[in-house]
Amino acid sequence: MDGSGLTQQPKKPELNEELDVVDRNIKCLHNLPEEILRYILSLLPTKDAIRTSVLCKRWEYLWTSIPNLHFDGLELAKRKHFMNFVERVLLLRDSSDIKTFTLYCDVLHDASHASAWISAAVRRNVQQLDIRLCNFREPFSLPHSLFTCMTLTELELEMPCILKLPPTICFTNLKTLKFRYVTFSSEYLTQKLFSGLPVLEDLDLRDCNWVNIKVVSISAPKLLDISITEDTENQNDEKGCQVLISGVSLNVFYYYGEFYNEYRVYNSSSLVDASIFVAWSPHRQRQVAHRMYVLLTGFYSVKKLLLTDQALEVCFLLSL
Amino acid sequence: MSNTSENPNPSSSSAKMTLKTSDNELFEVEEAVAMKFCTVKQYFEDEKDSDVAARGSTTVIPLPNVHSAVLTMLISYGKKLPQSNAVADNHEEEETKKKERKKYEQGLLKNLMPGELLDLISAANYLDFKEGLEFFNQALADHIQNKSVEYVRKFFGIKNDYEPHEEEKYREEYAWAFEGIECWLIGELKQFMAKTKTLDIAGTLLGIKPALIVASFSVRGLNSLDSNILKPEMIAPGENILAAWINAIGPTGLDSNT
Repeated sequence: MDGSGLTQQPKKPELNEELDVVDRNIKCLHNLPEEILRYILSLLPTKDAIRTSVLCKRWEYLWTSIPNLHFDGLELAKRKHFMNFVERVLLLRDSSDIKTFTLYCDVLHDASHASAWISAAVRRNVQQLDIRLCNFREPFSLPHSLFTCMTLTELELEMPCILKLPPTICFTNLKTLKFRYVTFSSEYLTQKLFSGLPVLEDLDLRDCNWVNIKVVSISAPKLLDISITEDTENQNDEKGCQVLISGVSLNVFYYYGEFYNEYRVYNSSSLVDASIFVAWSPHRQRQVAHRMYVLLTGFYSVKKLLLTDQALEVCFLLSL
Repeated sequence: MSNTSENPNPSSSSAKMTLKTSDNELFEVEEAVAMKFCTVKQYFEDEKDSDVAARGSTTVIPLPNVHSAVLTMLISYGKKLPQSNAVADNHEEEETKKKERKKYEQGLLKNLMPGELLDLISAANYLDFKEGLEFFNQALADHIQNKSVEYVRKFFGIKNDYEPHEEEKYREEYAWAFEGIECWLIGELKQFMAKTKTLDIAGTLLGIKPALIVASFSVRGLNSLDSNILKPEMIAPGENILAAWINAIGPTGLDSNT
C-alpha cells in the first residue's frame, strides 16, 4: 500500500518519445507514394523484401515487382522450407521483367521444379542468370527456352551433370558465359552452342568435361577474354578433345590444367596477355609437351606471357 | 541558413535562387545546386519563359511541402555532390572529394532519426531530387534490412490489420525468409524479465520493538458493511509493492493503487 504521488516513479521518457516517433511516421507513411515503397523494396535482399508482405494488408503484394531475385538454398537442413518459399514467390510474382535471378539449390528429386523455376525467370526476360545446382538424384534438363533467351546478357551455370542441349540455340545478347562442372556430350550440338555466340566477350570454362567429342571450335567473333580450367581428375577418354579457339578479338588467355585436351588458338593477332599454369604429370610427359607446343604457336603477338615453373620445364623438354 | 539579402559577394559567378519553405523561411541557394531539384528547375524554366527580366535572386520559388529543417539537409547534401558544370578534376582531386562525401554521408546517417529519414525521402520525392532520393532510399533499405516484422511495423507506424490466422499462414509459407531474424517481442520479453524481482522468505521475526506501525495514509476505521469488523482486514508490511493485474488498467483506473 503506497501513497499516490509521493513515492510514484516518474513516467519513463522513452515511451513518450517512441509514441511521438510513431505518430510522425504515421503521418509520413501516407506521404510516401507506392512507387517509392516499391523502389525501397527493390533495394532490399529477397528475404527481407518478401517478409514485408506480413506487415499489413497494404504491403501484401507490394513486393511482387522486385526485379532481382536471389535464392540461396544450399543448406540441406532447411531444404523443405526453401523449396516451398521459391515455389510460392515465383507463383505470386507479377509478370514484370526480372533483371537478375540467382538459384542455388540441391536438386534431389525436384528436377522438374528447378527447371520450371528457371523457365519462369526466362519468361520474364531475365538478363543475368546465376544457377548452381547439385545433388541430382534423377536426370535433369534445363528448359529449352533458356537457350533462345533474347534478353540474357550473363549466364553462369554450375551443374555437375550432362548438359542436354536443344536443337535450337541462339544467344543473341549473351556477353558473359561461365560453365562449371558441366559435361558436354553431343559433338554436333556442342559445336552449335559455341558457334552461336555473336556478342560474347567473356568465356569461362571450369572443370568441364568433353565426352565423346573429338573436335570443337569456339568461334565467337567478339570474344575478348577466355579462361579454361581443367579438372584435375580426368574423366575424358585417352586423347581428349581438340579445342580450336578463334582469337579474332581475343586479348586475354588463361589456362590451368594438365592438358587432358588439346587447345589451339588461331588468328590471335590481338592477343596480348597469356597465362599458362601447367600441373606436372610424369607419365604423360610427351603428350603435355606436345600440347604446350601447339598452344604456344598461337601466341606470336603476346606481350605478356606468364608460365609456371612446371610449364617452363615443359618448354625446356621441347627444346631438346 | 536562411538569408533574405542579396548576394554580398559581387565577384561570385554563380547565380543564386531563393526558395521559400512551408514554414516561410527563405533559403538562398546556388543555381547549380538548386537545379538538382528538378521541380525547382521546372518552375524556374516556366518562369523564365514568362518574364525574362525576373531571374535568379529576385524570383522566390515556393516549396509548400518542404519544411526548413528538411531543406537544410537536402541543400547541404546537394552541395556535396559532384557539380555538373564544374571543371573536371584530375583523378586525385576526384578521389579526395569522393572520400569526403563518403565521410559526410556516414555522419549524416548516424545522427538521423527514423522520422527525419521519412521526411527527407518525402521532400526529395516532391523536389524530384534524384541523387538525394537514391541515397536516402538506400539508407532506409539498409536500416530495415534484417530487422523483424514487428520492428519495421513500428518504424513505419504500420498497424497490423491481418487476422492472426492469416498472419500465421504467411509466416509458415515464407518460413525460410523468417529464419534468423530476431523476434522483436523476444527482445521486449527479455527486458521485461530483467525487471522482475524474486521474493525470498526471510522467516518469522519475533520480538521486534517497537512493533511496526501502520502508515499514516493507510486506511483504518470500520468496515462499511459490518461495523463489528475493523479495517484493515489483512495487513502486510511494505511500501511501493510490485503487484500484477490482468487488465491493461488497474482496478481503480488510477496510476497507482493501494
